Amino acid sequence: MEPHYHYPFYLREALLCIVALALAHKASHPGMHLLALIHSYLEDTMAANNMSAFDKEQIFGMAEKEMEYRVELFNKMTQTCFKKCVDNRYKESELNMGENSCIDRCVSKYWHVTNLIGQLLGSGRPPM
Amino acid sequence: MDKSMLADLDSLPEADKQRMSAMIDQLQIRDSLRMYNSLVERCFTDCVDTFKHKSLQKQEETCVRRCAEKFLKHSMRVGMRFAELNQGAATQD
Repeated sequence: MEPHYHYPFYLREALLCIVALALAHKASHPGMHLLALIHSYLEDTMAANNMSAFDKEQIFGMAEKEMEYRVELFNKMTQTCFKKCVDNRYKESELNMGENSCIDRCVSKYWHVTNLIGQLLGSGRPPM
Repeated sequence: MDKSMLADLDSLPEADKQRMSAMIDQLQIRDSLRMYNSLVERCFTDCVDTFKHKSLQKQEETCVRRCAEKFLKHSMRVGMRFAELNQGAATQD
């Protein structure tokens, strides 16, 4: 077992990808395909570093908030699904088959609920 | 995660890349402290119920070990699935 906790490397990759997303998003081409967005961002910045310092701060701010949000989501999801799926008597240290499939389903459902609520809050009426 | 996307990210200006990885490191430190606390809380609550002795009993210790190990495995699995979902969402639109 690892001596200290680190969130998995694949999450780190996901985060990096999201950063690229946020950075590209600011290039203000809504509706464009994500890959195209990233490419256009990269081309823009690579070609000429014409972004103002202010824009750049905003982009980094956004990217940071986005990353914080994702980490928070991941943590909540982990806590919730552990509580719901894993037997808390700890008879063994391995996850059994039942627990594993419960975890997969729990993550998938949690994700769907996140999107659903997002849509509900996003569509028109303010939440309060 | 699509490897080509990461390669693209590699072509960001050096300063931006450094800033991003500093940001990620910071998040990671904060997160691992939070995680430490919550794991202690969880395993203590689930494993330690009686206070007839001052020191941790053998079976309590075993329970704590399993609890921690199991949680880490769980967290890895959730991370894997979570990354898949993120990836799916990122390439869909």
